[in-house]
Amino acid sequence: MTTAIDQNEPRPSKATGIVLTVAALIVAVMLTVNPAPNNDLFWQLRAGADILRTHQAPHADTFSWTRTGTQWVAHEWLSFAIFALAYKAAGFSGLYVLMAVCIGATFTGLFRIAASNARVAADRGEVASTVAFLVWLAGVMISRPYFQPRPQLFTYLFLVVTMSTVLSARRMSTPRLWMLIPLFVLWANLHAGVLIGVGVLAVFAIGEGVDAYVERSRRDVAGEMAFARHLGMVAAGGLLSTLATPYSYHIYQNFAATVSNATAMNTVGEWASPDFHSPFGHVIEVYLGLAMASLFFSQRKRRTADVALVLILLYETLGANRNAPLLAIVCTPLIAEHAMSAFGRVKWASMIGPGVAYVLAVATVNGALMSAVSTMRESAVKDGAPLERVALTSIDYAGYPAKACEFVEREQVPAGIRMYNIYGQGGFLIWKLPDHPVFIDGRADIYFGKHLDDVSRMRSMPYDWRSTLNKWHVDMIVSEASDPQAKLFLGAPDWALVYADSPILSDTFRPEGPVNSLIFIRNIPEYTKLIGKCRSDCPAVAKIAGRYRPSSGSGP
Amino acid sequence: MTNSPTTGNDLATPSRFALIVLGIAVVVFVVALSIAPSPAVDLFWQMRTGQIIVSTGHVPHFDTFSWTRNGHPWIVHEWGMCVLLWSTFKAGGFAGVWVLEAVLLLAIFLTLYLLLHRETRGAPLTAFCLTLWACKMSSPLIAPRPHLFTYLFLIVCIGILLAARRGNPKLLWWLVPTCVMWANFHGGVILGVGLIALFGVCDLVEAGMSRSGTSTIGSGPLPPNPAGTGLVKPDLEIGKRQLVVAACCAVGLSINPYGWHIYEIFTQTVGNKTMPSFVSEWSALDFHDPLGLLFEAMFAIICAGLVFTRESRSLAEIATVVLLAHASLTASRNVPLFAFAGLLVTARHIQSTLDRFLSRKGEDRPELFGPRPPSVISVVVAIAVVAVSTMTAVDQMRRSPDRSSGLAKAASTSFALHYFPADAVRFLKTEQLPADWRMYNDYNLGSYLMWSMPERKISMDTQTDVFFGGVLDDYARLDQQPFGWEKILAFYHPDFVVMSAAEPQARLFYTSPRWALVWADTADLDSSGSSNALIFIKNSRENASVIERCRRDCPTLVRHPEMALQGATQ
Repeated sequence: MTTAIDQNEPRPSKATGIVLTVAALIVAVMLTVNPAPNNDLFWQLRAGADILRTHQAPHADTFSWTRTGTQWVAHEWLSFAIFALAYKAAGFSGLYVLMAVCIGATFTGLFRIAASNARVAADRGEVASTVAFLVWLAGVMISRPYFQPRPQLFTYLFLVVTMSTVLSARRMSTPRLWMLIPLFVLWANLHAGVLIGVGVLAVFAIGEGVDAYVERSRRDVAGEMAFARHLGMVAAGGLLSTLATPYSYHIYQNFAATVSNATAMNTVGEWASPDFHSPFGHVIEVYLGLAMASLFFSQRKRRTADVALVLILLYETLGANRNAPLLAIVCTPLIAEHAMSAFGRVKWASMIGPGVAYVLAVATVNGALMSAVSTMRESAVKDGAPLERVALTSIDYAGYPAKACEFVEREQVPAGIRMYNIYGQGGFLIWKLPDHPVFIDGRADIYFGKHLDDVSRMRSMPYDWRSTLNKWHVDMIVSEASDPQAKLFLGAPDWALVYADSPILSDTFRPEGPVNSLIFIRNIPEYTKLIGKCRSDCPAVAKIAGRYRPSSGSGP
Repeated sequence: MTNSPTTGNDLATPSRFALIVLGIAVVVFVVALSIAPSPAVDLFWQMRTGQIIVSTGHVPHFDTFSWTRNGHPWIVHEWGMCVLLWSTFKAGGFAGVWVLEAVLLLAIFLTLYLLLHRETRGAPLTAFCLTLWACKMSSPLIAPRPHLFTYLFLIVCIGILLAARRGNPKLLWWLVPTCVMWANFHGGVILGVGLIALFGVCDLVEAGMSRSGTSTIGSGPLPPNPAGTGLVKPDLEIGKRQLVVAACCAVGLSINPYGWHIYEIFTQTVGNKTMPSFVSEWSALDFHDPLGLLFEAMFAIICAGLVFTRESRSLAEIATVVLLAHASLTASRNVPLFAFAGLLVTARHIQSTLDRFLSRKGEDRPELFGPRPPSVISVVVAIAVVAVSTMTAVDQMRRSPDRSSGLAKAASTSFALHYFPADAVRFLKTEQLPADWRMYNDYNLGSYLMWSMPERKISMDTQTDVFFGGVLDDYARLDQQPFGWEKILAFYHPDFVVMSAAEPQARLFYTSPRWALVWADTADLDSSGSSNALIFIKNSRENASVIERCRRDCPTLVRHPEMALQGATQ
């Protein structure tokens, strides 16, 4: 750690820095126009509305009929309230603007930190900014799938602030670290990702301590040791500050239960490993290659904390693709310094001037704009004001069973009917059908145990699926044609199809097209009248029934 | 310029005792690992192919096993292994095949162990730990399969490349006969040639950068290790020689019965889009699986080694690690290749990092992970590994339903012979279904069906490259249970179906009124452990009597007649 500002640190050309910063902002905001199913948004809106109405955070589940009354640690309660306020003010447009502002601020800030770190290893500021921009771009691309209106947005933002504070303290020996504590208090009420922030501080503390210890025989390391201790104390303070929530230490129970639940890891898509045959997997590989190449070829001293953070967050990302933005935010500034050092080995590196930076800025802004325009052109949302259309497209609203919900209300399906729904629709059903409690939704932690295990089992389509479903005494099923389970119910004589968005049954998965919701009601005398009425009100059903003749057997 | 070693305690003579004791533990570990059950789905078609080669005196050029691809060109790049498998089976049955597998595995891992011992400058415990780790990472792919030769030859090739860099460039010429031999055992030889060429290109680039004054890859802020590994800094001559040798190897590959066509296998396989979504070992690495976690840990160690080393890094080493990491991420079957190549090229860096962090003040080498670990530690570690390995192997053999003993028991446990549908095959032979009936079968059972019923042609098996294109694509599509599945199947006009209950598409036949279930191994269709074969016959008036007769002869359907009612009869 330097003890004073390095007077020889190159001053970047102001124009280059401004151009790339503006480009970063535009690119980040444009990339938010990206249809990504966000099932959780809807139950969060309902939870937020409840919080605003009752002025207290929820402690027990009221949204499902399967886990009603179960303890619910809504660690993101403050985010829910903010989302509800934004929705109340301007509908989905308001939510989109909130998301765009958060993402824009986060990733513009990230670029600034990366450029600042890269300058440490550069002879010329323009080269540093350009290299930092390229590393940053890779980081943005691995984060893009998670540009959604979710509480994680606050974790991304506060993580950038944390990294900025720690890195500048490390470089300039100005201990402003204590200002992180009030930030952590606020963060703890917005999202449990505050634990990541605490973890990052702890790794920095340990890493700086290890480096100082290893170097102790060669020079005086009193300053570095003091810095490491300071980091440790702030990390401890951060840990304590996470108790300042309506749920206190329960936030840790929730965290531990989540990361240790194998069923959730294998059932919930965003907890799965990245698929390295998909475009997202390819981008992660590129980022990984960039990180490794930077560390291997760098001429700078590799700090233990930096290497540890890269490896730890890489481990987290490989274990769950939802952690990719965390990898990008924490590691991009660290990698930028080494990338600049590695690039500096190349003879012609110093010949890169502002012109390259300007071309890069224009090319990436152009690419991001074209991507946004193309997305809107292909969007299934055709009506509404422009901002509303962008908002509904970015949350893939067409992929939710809005019409099916309207049908349920229109047909006055009894509120007490036990509904089985697929995981990806639960959040929307909570919001759109508040009188019909759900079977399961995106609050996976509430359903840990037998419940989630049964859902996972149903998704594997066992031969005796009825024994799993029947023990819940389900009378109504809300599914969609692209869900494999739908085929079980379509061919079953004990279930009657009563609604379909479209008579064309397709295996295409969202978000490639609008959803084709299906509703089934148990084929028993009690519901004969309801089944008849529903079928007569939904012409699509007759066309599908003609193609699907259920088998006569009742199964094992 | 050569890195000359200096005198010092880092030249302490490596402990031969520790090397031998830990080596024995490696042997026991490898043998025990080879007993771990894994259905040998490829073994049967490979033995049958070997039988054909031995009896006819020439290799096959066209498929003759299937009715879907009958007459299609077929490149049996692993013909040497097929002959070896058939010969050992003929001599000693499945026990003979298992012994062959064990011998190959010992050759692989002992070679790796000794080379790692050399690369770590005689640190036996480091070499031991890394070898065991590589062994564990290879365990999902340990089977009597031709790729074992790829593992062996890959290790040998890298050993030669590294030895050549220690002032013995003429050793590189040994790569040519190695690759020629390799080309007749497995198409993975292309990887070996690629690696040699990669070394050549990287060394030329690095030498060129040194000449132009650009700071070289290896230099960095850390002081160089004065007692280096004796590695010669890459120069133009070594780089050129490696490229020439690579070119000779590339030409030498065509010294096989198929000539240059062997390259087609490579381009077809890596270019096929269906396999990754369908064949588990070609799918992306899953980091929720033990294999993914083992890979991560090894990747972290290799990276830490490269980052913190005091040795100069070479571009060839880094390129090898990066490319094989990519290969592993995209196909889990490449993980052992990453383990072998990655460890060999970075072992000296890992050791350098260990030396840096674990050495006491004033010493260059640590005690435990240095050349002379305490004998007591070596013995305790070896005994622990031997004990756990032996207990695990004994437990696995005890759990096997097979009633044989000795080597036969080891073989049947290792190859999971109980998995294969022997009862279903006996049933088919008894019922004497018409010889011209087309059998549509499970991908994983095809090899066994072809072996057990050579008079019948199969629809597909694990000779996957033969089925690239429509057949494989349609099979993979049916596994997704699409809405229009009957239209896809209608193209093939099958008359009966043999499928494992665990295969996703089995549910299509089970619930369809157009197919009649006539055989099930057991009634519990959701159980795992064996294939639980199901046989369906096309449900038509012409087949009604056959269906009825078969159902009467199936014990499971007699006890559970409701299973036959899943589809409505016409």
